[in-house]
Amino acid sequence: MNERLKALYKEVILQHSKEPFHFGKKEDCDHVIVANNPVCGDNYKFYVNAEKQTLKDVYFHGFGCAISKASNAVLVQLISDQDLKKAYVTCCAFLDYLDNRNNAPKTVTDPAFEAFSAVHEFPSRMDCATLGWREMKKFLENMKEVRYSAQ
Amino acid sequence: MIDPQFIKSHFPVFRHHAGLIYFDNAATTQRPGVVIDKLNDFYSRGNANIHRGLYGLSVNATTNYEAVREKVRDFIGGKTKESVAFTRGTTEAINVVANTYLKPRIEAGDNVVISAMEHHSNLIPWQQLCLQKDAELRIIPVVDTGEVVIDAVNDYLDRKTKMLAITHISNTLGTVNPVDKMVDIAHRKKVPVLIDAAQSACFYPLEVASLGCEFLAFSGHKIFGPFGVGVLYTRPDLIEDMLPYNYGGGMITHVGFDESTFMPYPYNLEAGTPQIAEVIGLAEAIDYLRQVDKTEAIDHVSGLAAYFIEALNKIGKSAVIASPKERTGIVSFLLDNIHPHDVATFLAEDNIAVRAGHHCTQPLLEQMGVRATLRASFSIYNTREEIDRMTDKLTEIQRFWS
Repeated sequence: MNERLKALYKEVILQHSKEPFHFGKKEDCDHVIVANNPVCGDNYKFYVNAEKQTLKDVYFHGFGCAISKASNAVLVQLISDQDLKKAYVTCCAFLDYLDNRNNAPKTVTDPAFEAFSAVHEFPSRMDCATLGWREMKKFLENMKEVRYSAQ
Repeated sequence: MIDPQFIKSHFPVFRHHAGLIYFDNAATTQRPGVVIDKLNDFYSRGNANIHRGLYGLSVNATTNYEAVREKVRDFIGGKTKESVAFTRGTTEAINVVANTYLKPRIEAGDNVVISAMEHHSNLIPWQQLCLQKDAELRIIPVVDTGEVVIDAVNDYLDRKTKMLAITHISNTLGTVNPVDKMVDIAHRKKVPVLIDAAQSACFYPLEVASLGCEFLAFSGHKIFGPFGVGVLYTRPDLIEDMLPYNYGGGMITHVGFDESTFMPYPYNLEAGTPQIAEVIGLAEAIDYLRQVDKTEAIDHVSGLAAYFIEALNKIGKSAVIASPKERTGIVSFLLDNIHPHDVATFLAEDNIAVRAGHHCTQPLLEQMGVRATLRASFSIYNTREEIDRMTDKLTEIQRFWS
């Protein structure tokens, strides 16, 4: 197996994709966020409870590749118990970390991000890694607490 | 016998990408040098707009463009060259039939019949038309073998059926449909038939005149021709029923500020400047294909599929989707429970190009109980050695993931 692939499919990603954190349907939650990629057929739902502006018991479920599943697992793990604003900042930081458009050195704001560093080398897999984060960011942007503070 | 190495030597892409194993021919084939040269030649030596100029270049471009109709007529076994219209591809051809032929003829309570294995391009145009007209879209199911039960076709057609639109070959499963029988069944009930020949036009004889189908569509880029050109065949007795699709220059007989009159089919479908170089390039692809024995080509690609399936069956827990009696060189499969995109990324690292996803047949895959598959699709430049390399790699991937 070549080194590039080993870097992309790090042990942590394989582990997350095999036994993802908080993987399950929780239909009785406050919000359901859909992350759907019509091009490849990836389809996930995030189950979110927002208690006093804090995200509680975030779960996810659905279908997709190892990269997307692991990435969503990390997302859920990081934002569970974060307040809305903090969760929003986390999403922005991750998306910024993977952003290929500028070559500026990236600040790793969370060690969990590093598992995905090799995605840069595989542009065709960028959507897999970012799909859930983009939808979560959009959802948080629509929460008024986040909207006001972003202004 | 097909000599894949000799054929491969005609395709420049394999010189520029040594070691490329190209198994994505159902998405688009590669192009032989003669087709690429023809495009270059037209732009270098023959470039002019058609149908308008009185000077030599334009007259020649017009002659060369129009001559392709005759070449296509011969290629598909049609009776008149006027039954051949150039479109942007299969998708546009089907949209043309749905929107210019069928739209004025379908009413609330009527129905259109398709099969569950249709590509989105032979599903959505009918679906949207039926929604607009309050008509019913009926889907002939596909059984576990990946086939349409021929007797079922009859059950889905009735006096209210305005069109049977069916694919010749499933782009996802590789199933070859008995379109001749299907046309007979439909015609017994006076139902017109459109055949989506996108996957079959390359090697399978179409013979539209003896088949008797009303419409047939295919794309140039899946038969070694250029992108952006396709063919719509309309049976000669129906061409007067074909109304314009786009309006503009090139398709009119007289234009006034209040009203206009239009040229007959096929010219009424070719508004604006058409894809002249691509049409001329398509003729070159047809000439190239003439040198290939169709029966040998079919044997070659379906033989590769059978060889690959045999190899896959020896890899534990891999699964081939569908087992049709007649299969072309297309195989959809899964490797353990590893997601197709992950497998395809691994294969790509070894210079093996396959497709992963739903292959524009989402409802079909849902029905077959899978969300995405890997698809290997073979052409006449592919070899058993290439399949061996893929099989070795699949075994390696399996080990890595276990």
